[in-house]
Amino acid sequence: MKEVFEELVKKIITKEDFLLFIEEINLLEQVVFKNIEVPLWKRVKGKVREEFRNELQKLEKEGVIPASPNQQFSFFDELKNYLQKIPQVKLEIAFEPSEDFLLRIKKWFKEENHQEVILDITVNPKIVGGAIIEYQGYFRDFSLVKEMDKLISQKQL
Amino acid sequence: MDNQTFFIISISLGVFAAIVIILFGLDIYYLAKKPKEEKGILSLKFSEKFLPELEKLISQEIKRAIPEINQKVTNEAIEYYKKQMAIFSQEAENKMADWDQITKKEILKFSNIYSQAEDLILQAAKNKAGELGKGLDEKIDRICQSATETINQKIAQTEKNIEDYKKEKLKEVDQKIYQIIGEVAKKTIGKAIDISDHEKLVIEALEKAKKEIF
Repeated sequence: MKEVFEELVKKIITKEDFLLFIEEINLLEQVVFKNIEVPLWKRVKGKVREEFRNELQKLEKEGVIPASPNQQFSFFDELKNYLQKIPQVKLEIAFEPSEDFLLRIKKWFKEENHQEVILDITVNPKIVGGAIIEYQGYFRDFSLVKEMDKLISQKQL
Repeated sequence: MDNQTFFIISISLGVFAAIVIILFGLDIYYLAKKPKEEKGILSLKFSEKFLPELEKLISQEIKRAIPEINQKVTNEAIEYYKKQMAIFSQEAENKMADWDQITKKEILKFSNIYSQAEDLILQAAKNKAGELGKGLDEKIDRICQSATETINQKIAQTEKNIEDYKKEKLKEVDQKIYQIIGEVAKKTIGKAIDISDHEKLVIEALEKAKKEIF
């Protein structure tokens, strides 16, 4: 089950993705008890992302997602719990990041820290460059604006 | 005085000789006027009386002549003395003139000496005044020096204050400049950095954070 969750989580990069995913799961949890004769992936057509719907279809066909509504509910509930346990990293950066770059960061965390993370990205041009990082109660400012302020303060002395 | 005596004696002898010659001449003239027959007798008589007569005559003449001679000698002497007096007077006048000259010279000399002395005194006075002036100058110099030192200290203090004020103001200006530079840099550098550099900076930030918090 964990491998299934991990596979699903791979698509979640940012906090927005996470929230959307949670929202979709909440929706699925609401849907699992309705029109149970219709496959789940069909029931959520137009209500979730198509990509996610395709994933659901695949998982339903493979039997990864149980057939009974209660089990489905439990599955999604577990998935939701799993997702909520994924640590979030707050990153304040100066530019609008590309999808590739976000994936690269996510990959970096996986490789360097051996864990999945959800990126809570804030774009703030005032920090000039670098990043302000907040992770599990820790806060580090590696922004260029801080370096510049430090430099200016030294020059002013 | 010896010359005068010699002169008087010479005059006296001269007068005496003249008298003798005159008497001899008169005697010859007197004999020439007497008759010829008495020539032999007279000649004898003359020869007998002649000497006493002559002596008597001479004596009388001498007696008569002596006062004249004395008078003449006296007159001569008076004249001589007058001349001498005149000469002496002239000499005295000359001497006086000389003395006058000498006196004038001496006075001139004295005047020069006085003038020199006066100059010396004046010079000494000037020197003294100079010394006093020097002393006064030294005092003024000291006062000036003291005043100059005070002024210099004040100037130095003022310059230091100005320098401090300048430094402070420059620091403020620098701070403002750096603030402005910072603000401008913050606004421009962020935009100037391309995306790949931004990405590198973020990865670097993560690398740094990894050592500390991840």
